[in-house]
Amino acid sequence: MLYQGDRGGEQMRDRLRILYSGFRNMGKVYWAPYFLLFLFLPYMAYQPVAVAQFSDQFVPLISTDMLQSFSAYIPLIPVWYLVFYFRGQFEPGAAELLLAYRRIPYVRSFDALSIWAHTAFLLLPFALLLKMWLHFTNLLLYSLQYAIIMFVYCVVFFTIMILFRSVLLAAAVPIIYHLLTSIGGEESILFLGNRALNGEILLTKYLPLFFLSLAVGIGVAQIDQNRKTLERTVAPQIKKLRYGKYKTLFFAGMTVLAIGGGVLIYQTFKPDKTGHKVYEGESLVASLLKHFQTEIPAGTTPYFYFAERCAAGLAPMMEKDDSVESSAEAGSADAYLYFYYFDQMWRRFAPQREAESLIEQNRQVLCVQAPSILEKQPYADYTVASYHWMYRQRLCREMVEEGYQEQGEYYQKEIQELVWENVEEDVQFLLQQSNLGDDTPAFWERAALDRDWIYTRLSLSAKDQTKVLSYARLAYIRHRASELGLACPDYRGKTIGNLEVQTSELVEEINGSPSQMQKNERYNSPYSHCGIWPKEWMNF
Amino acid sequence: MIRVDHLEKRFGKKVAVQDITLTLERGVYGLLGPNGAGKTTLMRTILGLYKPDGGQVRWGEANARGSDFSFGYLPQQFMAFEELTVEETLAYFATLKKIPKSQRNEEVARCLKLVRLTGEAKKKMGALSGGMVRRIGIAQALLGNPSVVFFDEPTAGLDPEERMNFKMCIAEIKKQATVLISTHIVSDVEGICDHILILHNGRLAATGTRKEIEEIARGKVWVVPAEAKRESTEGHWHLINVYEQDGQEWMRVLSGEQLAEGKLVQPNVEDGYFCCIRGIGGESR
Repeated sequence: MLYQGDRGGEQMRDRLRILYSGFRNMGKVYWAPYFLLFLFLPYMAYQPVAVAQFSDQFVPLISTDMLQSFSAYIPLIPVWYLVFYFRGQFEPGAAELLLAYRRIPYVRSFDALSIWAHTAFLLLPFALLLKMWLHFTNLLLYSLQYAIIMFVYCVVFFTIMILFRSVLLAAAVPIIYHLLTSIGGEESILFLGNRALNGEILLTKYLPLFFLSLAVGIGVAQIDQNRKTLERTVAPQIKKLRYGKYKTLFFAGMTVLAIGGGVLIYQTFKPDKTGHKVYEGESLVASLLKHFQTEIPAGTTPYFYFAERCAAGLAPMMEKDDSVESSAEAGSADAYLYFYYFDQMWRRFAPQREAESLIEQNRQVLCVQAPSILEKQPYADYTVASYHWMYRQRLCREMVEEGYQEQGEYYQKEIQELVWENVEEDVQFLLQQSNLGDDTPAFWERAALDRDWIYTRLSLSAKDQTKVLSYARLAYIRHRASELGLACPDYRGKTIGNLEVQTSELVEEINGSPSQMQKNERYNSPYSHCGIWPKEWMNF
Repeated sequence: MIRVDHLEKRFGKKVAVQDITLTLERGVYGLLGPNGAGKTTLMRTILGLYKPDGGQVRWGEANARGSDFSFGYLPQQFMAFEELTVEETLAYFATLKKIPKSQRNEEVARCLKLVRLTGEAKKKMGALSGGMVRRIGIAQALLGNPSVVFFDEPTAGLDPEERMNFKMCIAEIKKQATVLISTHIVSDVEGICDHILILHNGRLAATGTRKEIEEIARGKVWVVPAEAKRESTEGHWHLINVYEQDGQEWMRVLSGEQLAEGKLVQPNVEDGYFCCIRGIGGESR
C-alpha cells in the first residue's frame, strides 16, 4: 500500500496537502490577518475622515500616518500563523503521531518556509491597495523590507520552537522584541517607522540579515532533521557539560557567548540614523546651520527665504559643504525645509481659513517622506502644483543670476525702491510687450485677484511679473478706495515700498467689504479668495 | 517481527522500563499493567519515539523502524483537528502515512466503515463526542492496512457496544498484522489477544498465552462468603471482586494459602494479572 522510491512531484503535493490541512485546521483564526489588512486597517485609516466629514480628497492625507502606524505590526502576521499552525504539533499525542508517521523530510522547515511565503504573498494585494489608494512610493523596497523582517521572525520562531520545543516561547520572543522596538527602539535592528528606506540600506543591512537568517534556518532545519543522530552523538556531551562538575562554567560560557553574539549581530546590523521625523526637522536644520557657522532663527522671514531657496534647489545643505557626516541628515534637512516652505504657503492660501499646519499634522512622518504629502490633493493646487510656486522658482533663479543673496534684499532693491511713476512707465511698456491689454481698472482687478494670469505670461521675466503685480495691486487699491469712498494716499513721487506701507490698512478695509468678496468670487485662481494681498505677502 | 532485547528507558533518575526482552510476531498482544507501569513508555520506545537508554529494538533485521514497515499508532491522547472534517482528518493521516493518492479515498471510506462512522464523514472533528474522536483515532491507525499496529488505551471513552466493535476490528486484522494493545482493563484484551504481556514497575512480570496467564493463578483463586471473610483475619488474601449470587454476597479473592470458608475456582486472565502485579501471599489486602 505504501509508495516507495523517489516521486518528487507526489511528495511535494503531499507536503502541500499537509500544509493545507494545517491551515484549514486554524479555522476562523486563519482569517484574522485578512481582517486586519483588508478591513481593520482601511477602516482605521478612513475613520477620522468619515468622522470629520472631510471630502474624499483628504483620505490619503489623513490616512497615511495612521496606516503607517498600524502597518508596523504587519511583520508579526507570520508569527500568528506559525503559532496556530505548529501549536498542535507539540501537544501530547499530536507530536507523537507526527513523529511516528513522518516520512517526508524537512517537513517542519518546509511548513515554516511556506507560511512565510504565504504571508508575503498575502501582502501583495495589500501593497497594491496602498499603491492605488494612498499612492505610496518606494513600495517595492518596503515590500522587500517587510518580507525580510517577516523571514527573520519566522527563523527566530522556528529556531526557538525546534530547540526549546515550545511554541509559546517561540512566539513570545519575536512579539516582545517587535513591540519593544516599535515603542522606543530608535536604533533597533528591525524597527520600521523611523527610517527612510533606500536601496543602500536594503543591500547593506537587510540583505545580509536575510542571508544570516537563511543560514541559521538551514542549520536549525538540519538539527530538526537529524535530531535522532544528534541525540545520540552531541546531546550526551552537552548533558555531561550541563550536569557535570563544570556546569557553572558551562552556563557562564553560554551566557557570555549569547550576549557576545547578540552584541556582535546588533553592532553589525544596527542601522545608522538615516531618517528624521518632521518634529526633529527644525533642530536638525539648526544643527546643520550651526555646522556651517550660519545662524538663521526658525520662524523668521530669512528662515522662510532660506527654505524657499532650498525648495528651489538653490541652497541644498550638501552643496554648501560636503563635511556633513551623513548625507541622510542633509537629505532630511532639505526635505524638512521644503515641507516647511510649502506648509507656510498652504496655511496662507488654503481654501479654509486658519488651515492647520501640515507640520503639526505630520510630526511623526519622516522628513524625506513628507514632501510626497504635498503632491496629493488638495495641497498640491495650493503648493507644489501652483503657478505661484513656478513664479517663485523663476524669481529665485533670476535673483541668484543677478548676484543677490536673499529674496528680501532683491525685492527691496528691484521693486520697493522704485518710484511709482517709473514703475507705471515700465508696466505700460510691459503690457504692450506681453499682450496683457490696456492699463484699465479691469486689468488692475484681474492682475490683483487672478495672479495666475500674470504668472503664466512666461514672456515676462519673474522680476517683470513682480513689477506688474505690484503696480496692478496698488492701482487696484486706489481704484477700489475711490469706489468705496475711502481715503487713499497720493502715489506720486513715492516708492513702492512706501506705498505698500501707506495702503496697508486700506487693503484690510477693502478686503473686508462685501463687494470685494463678490469680486473675489469671479476668479478661479487658488488665491482669489484671499482678495487683495497684504503687503507682507508681496514677496512670498 | 519486532525483537526487543534488554530494553531500558530512564527519565532522569526514574527508570521507566528496564530489561524488557520480547518478540512480537503476527497476532494480537495485550500489554497489561497498572497506571504508571511503563506501558506507554515501552510502546513509544519500540516505535522509536524515545531513544532507549539500554538494549535495542529490532524491526525485522534493522536496528530501528525502517520505511518498509507500514504501521499504525493510536496514542493515549489522540490529536483531533477540530476544524477539519472527519474525512479530511483521515486523508491528512493517509498523506502522512504515504498512502498513494489514488487509494486514499477508498482507504478512508474503508476505515470509517470499520469504526462505523461513515455517516459522520462530513462532520467537523470538533463536533464529535469523545468516544467518536477515539474511534477516528482507531481508524487512522488502521489506514493503509499496516503490518504493525500499536494501540495505547484504545477503548478509553468507548461505550460497551463500541468496545465490542473494536474487538471485532481487531479480529479482522489479526491475521495479517502484529497488534499491540496497551490497557489496564483486562476485559479489553481477554477475548481477543493471543498473547498477554504483564508489565509491572517497568519490568515484564509475565508473558504468555491467555491459558498461561490463567495458569499463574491456578490454585490461588477462592470464592468466599463476603460476610464471613470480612470478619476473618485468617491468612493473606487479595480481593479481586465482590458479587451477589443466590441472594448471598460473595468475594473472589487471591490467596496462596488454604482459606477455610472458601472454595477454589477456575482462574481467568484477570486473576493471573492480579497474581502478577500484587504477588501471591503479599502483605497488603
